[in-house]
Amino acid sequence: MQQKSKKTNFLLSHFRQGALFFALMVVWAIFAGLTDGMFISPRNLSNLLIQSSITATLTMGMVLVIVTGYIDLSVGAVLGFLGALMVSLLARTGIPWWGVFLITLSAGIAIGLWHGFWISYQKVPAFIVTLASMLVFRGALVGITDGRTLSLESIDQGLGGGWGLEILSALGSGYLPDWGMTFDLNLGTPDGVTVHGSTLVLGALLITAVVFLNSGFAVTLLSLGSAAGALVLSLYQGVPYILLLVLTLAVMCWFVAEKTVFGRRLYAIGGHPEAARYSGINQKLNSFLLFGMMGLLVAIAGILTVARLQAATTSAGQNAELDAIAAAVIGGTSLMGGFGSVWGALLGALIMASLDNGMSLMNLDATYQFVIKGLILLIAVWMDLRSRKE
Amino acid sequence: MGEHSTAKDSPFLSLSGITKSFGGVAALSGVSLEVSSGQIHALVGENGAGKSTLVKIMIGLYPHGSFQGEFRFEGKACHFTRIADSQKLGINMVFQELSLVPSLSIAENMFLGAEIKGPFGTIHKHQSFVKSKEILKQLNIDLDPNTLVKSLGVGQQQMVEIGKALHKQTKILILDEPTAGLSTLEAESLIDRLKHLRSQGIAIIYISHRLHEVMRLADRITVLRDGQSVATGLTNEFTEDTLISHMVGRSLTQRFPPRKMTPTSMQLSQSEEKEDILSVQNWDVVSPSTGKSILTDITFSLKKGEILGIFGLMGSGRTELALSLFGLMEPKRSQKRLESTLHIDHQKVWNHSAQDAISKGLALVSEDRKQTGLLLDRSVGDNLTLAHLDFFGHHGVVNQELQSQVAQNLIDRLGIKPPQATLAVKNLSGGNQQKVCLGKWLVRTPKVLILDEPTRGVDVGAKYEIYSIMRDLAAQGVGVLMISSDLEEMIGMSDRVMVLAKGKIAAFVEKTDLAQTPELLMTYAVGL
Repeated sequence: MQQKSKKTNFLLSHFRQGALFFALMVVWAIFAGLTDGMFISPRNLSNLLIQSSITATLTMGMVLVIVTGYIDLSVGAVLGFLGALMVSLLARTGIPWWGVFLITLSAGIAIGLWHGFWISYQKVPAFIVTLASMLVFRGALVGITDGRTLSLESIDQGLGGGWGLEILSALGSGYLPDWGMTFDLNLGTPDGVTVHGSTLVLGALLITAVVFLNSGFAVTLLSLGSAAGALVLSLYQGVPYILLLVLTLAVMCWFVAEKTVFGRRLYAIGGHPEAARYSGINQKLNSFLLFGMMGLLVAIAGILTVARLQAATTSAGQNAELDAIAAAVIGGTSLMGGFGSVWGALLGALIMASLDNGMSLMNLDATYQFVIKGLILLIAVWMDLRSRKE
Repeated sequence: MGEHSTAKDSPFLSLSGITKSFGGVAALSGVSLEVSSGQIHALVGENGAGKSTLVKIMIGLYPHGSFQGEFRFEGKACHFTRIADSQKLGINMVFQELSLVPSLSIAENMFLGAEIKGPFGTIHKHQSFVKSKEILKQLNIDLDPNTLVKSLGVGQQQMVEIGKALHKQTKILILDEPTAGLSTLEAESLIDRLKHLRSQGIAIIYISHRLHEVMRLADRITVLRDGQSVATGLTNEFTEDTLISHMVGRSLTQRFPPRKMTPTSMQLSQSEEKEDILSVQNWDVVSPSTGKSILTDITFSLKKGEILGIFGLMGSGRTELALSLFGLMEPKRSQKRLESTLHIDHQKVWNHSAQDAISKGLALVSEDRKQTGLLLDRSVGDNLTLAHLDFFGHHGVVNQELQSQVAQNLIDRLGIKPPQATLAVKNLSGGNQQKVCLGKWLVRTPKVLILDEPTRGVDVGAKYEIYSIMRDLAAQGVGVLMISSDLEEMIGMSDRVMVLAKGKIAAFVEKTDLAQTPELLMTYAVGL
């Protein structure tokens, strides 16, 4: 009997990840049908992955925040503010580009720790603390940009820019070089198909890594997905730099969540605060540090947003907190705390981005886009709750 | 349906052959109980004897079908599926934990969920006020129904809670330890009011540990032990002594492992002056919520390798003693001359938090493993290592290999079944869950192990294993504080027992006296 319950447990815990992957495939299939295959063209899928990167970055942090039993509503506003801070530092001061990057990242951590201070040590609910920050930094963003768009083009390369601008441009729209490994396949089509060789090599490496590590069903699934993704990407322009960065971050966040003492404590605090307290876990310190980590991820997302838009705008990051929370929840994170995984959240972010992308391709009115996203969020959480009752 | 038995002849409420088990552990087996109207029927027994389970069946909290046996009320078979079903028939219970909303008034609380409605579905305030006043009068209480509940004392809140049950056409009122949180004076007035209710024809089922109250108040008494009704009769057929011996039972043979003889324990017992590992002086604790004194002037010491039992009734402050030693509740900083002090291994310490206490070598297996002990959804391995994650961290990264090694060792040592570190704790039986609770403090051997109800809800086999581990630890020189309301366990395991009554030390009972007069402990605890 115990043997059996173990088996059902195993199936249940992996069913969720599998179901999510399946849901993603269904969404893709539907959009492929509705757009005459345009949605699943290598070019569009490549775009889709780039589009989901920023939400994915925020979602990784959001998962851990929600797992620990908190929420962060400020990520959108802070992201916008930090981006504007970076651009204006590059434009208006002589600080070298690496200094500016460092300041931006540090500012992100500092803002996160500020939240952590109020939440853990002053016991103000996270909802209120981050709601306050959402207002504060939305205001600060308007202040720093004077309500105008700060474009990267206007920055004098000789002043602070230089390499920094190169990096931002690479992150925004650059692809990994092919190192001379391009194959032209003639499949009978008039133009032939160009395959991006280095991407294939990368995909092969990924599959090897998965087989070598074999660390669980979820990782296997996602890595296989990525490998398939690499194949698709190789048919377009290869691997975008931004995707590489986000995948690296994801591996790091997964490591923190699953493999470190810190991560283990976060799950304990969120899952059962009393048991954690009785076990001598320092809830205040761990929560404080968690928000610092969230701040760092927000800063990275802020830099990526500037890179994508090649500018800092007053509307940057608007609704990003809601996308991140929705992605985390669709990815199986429990708002009650204690449950959630980084990989699930990435799938959630991809589903959210797919909805945006697909509906835009269909030229659907913005009105319907919001309505549909809202309803899908509601139904996804409802289905998840029902499956948890088992 | 075709029932024609007259309600007058048959008892008001009758339960017969009630059997109920939780995951293979029988909580009740074949219990029968008959209650007549206008009668106060007391249920007594040790903790875990099955009293609460029995009343939960009566109110439909454990629905029809989840237990075996017959349950009739006013001659009709009862098939309750939820609490509302029993309330409809007039069976109401006042729970141990008060369920009032502090920010609402007495009247609002009394009609919470059963509001008196005006013509447009609005709450009829005046009517609620008048009715509440009536009920308060029925209880002989002179209070304004508009008073906010948070401004009332615990005793008065208890009354409001009873009043809440009364407006629902109550025929049977069930009270679970109603006087546990009350002062003597408050308890007295509660008892008077219960007698008053009885004279109005309401039947009362009264669960209490305070035997002198039971003797004064009850018309009939039923004693439960280990899920069976061992004695029932009119109050004058019992004395407090006979009640206690029914409650305790007499089979105290070989349910406890013998003391271990090891080089360490030999050394310990040979040395004339055993060394103190823990010493507590003038320990005062007040309730952080009410400011009431919970523990006063507790002074005792625990020797290396000693198992000191702490016995007391519910509300005696025994759990608070454990929590305050472990840093989860702070003792009062001295406002009087004598300061509360704690020495561990001759070192003066002040624990602000559990992590402080753990670093000083304390460990606490808490009373309620589901609420405060375990992460039920996580694996056995994760739970076993939770309290000592630093030990498994290498630059902050959990050393999985070390973790699974240590977890497997503990699983073998404690005999946790099934022996799989990856299994979620919620899939384990109560006994095995308790072993995990204990095991998580054995990653590093503590200096002092505090156990609060170490075998509550644990089957006999696992009990013996837990006792054996306690003996092992004591033999290694660990000081063990064992809080328990199980008399047999108290007598079988303790080297010495400290009895707490109403937040004070009532007595110390030595091993030699324990074996002869087990009733002694209960006598001290009830404050005779």
